[in-house]
Amino acid sequence: MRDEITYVPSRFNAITHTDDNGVVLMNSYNGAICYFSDKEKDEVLSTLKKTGTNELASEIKQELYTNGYLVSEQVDEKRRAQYLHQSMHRTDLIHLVILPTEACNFRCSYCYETFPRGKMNKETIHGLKRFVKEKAATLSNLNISWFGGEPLLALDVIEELSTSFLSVAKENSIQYSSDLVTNGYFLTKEVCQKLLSWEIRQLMVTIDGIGEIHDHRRYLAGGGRTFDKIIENLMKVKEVQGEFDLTIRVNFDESNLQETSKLIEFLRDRFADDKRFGIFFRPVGRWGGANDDELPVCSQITSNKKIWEFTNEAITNGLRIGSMIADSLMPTGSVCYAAKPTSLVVGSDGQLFKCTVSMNEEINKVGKIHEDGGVTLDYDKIALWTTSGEETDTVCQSCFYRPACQGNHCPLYRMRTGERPCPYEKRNIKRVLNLIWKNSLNE
Amino acid sequence: MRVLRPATTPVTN
Repeated sequence: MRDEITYVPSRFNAITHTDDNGVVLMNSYNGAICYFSDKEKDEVLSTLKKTGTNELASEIKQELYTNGYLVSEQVDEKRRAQYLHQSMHRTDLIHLVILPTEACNFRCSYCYETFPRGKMNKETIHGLKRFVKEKAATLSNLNISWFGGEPLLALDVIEELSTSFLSVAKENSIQYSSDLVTNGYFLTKEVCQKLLSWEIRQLMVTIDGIGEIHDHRRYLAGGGRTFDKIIENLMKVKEVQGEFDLTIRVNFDESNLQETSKLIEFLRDRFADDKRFGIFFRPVGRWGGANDDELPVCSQITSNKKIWEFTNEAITNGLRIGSMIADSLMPTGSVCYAAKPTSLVVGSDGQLFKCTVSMNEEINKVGKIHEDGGVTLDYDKIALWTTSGEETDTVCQSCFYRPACQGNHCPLYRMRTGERPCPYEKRNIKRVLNLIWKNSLNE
Repeated sequence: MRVLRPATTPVTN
C-alpha cells in the first residue's frame, strides 16, 4: 500500500486553530496563508497526516496541493530551500539602505547610534547616482530604504537621489520601491506629500506611550518634548491623498509596559479609521547604546509574550497590523538585509556597511563608494555576514521556517552571542497566524 | 477556504 502514496504534507507548513474553530495554514516556502472553516477543518487535518494521501479527489485536497501544503513525496524540499537560498545571489536586485544624514534631532534613551557624521557629502551623492546608473541595464528591482540619523533632516538629499533613481528606473523599466524610518517630528503633511511623489510609500514612526511616557524616552537633543508634535503631524498625514503604509512602532520595556494599553486606545481613537495606518510592537534591546546598562529591558520570556498580547489587543480595538508581519513569513522575508549579498548600507561619507546597528565595529565596515560610482568592497567581511546561517546550522536546515529566515534573521546576534537568531514570529507562529486571520477580519 | 496570502512562485522575490 505504501507505494500508492503520492502526496505528503510539506515540511515548511505551520498550522493553528482560530478563535472560530477554523484553522489557518501557512507555508514558508511559497508564502501561502489560507484559512479553512470549521466545516472544512476535519478534512484538512486528516489530509495533512504524515502518512499522506494518494489522490486529490476533493476540492479541499486540490486547494492544499495548489497552495503548497501538500507536495509530491518525490520532491526534495531541503534542496528546494537550498536553491532558494542560492537565489539570494541573483544580481538583478539591489537594496540600498541610505543614510542621507547620520545626525539626529532626537536623543532617545535606548538609541544605539552615536551620530558621528552629519549630512551626506556631494562626492557620495554623485557616487550613488552613478553607481545606480551603471547598474541599471541589468536591474529588474531597485529598493531604497532611507534611514539615519533622522533622514528628514536631509530632505534635499532624499529629493536629489530619489529624482535620479526614479528617472533611471523609468528609463530601464526597473521596479522601484522605497521606504523610510523617521522619528516623525518633521513628517508634516507637505513633507509626506513630497515623499509619496518620490515613491516612498512605506513609512515607520515610533510612539512609545502617551505624552510624558513617550517624552521621557524619546526627547529632543538638548531636551524637549516630542509627542504632541508627532501626533499633530500624523493627524495631518491622514489628510494626504494617495497610497502609503505608515507603521506606528511601539518600543516597550519594563518602564512603559503598564501604559501600553492606554496607548493602544489612544491610537485606536485616532487611526483605526484609516487603513493606511498599522501598528507594530517590539521590545527595547541592548544593542550597544551609551545607556545599555541602565535600560529596564524585558526578559526574553516577557518580550515574546507581550509582543503578541499587545498585537492582539490592538487588533481587538480595531487597529491593523499592516502587512509587515505577514511579509516576514514570506520566502526570504525574514532574512536581514545585512545577510543579503545584494544589499548595502551607505553611510553619509560613502562608507559602506552591512548592518545598521553595529556601525562602529570594524567587521561591519565593508567598503566605500567613490565619486565616480565605483565601489571598493571587502568580500572577506561581507562573507561573514552572508554565510553565517543555514549553510552551517543543521537545526536551521531542518526548521519549518527555513525558507523565510534561512538562519539569517540577525547575523549580528549570532556573531555576538553564538546563539541562533530565531525571529519572534517563528517562535510564536501559532499565535501569529491566528492574529493574521483576526486582522483580516478588520480589513 | 479563504486565501489570506496567495502562494508566490519561490525565487521570484
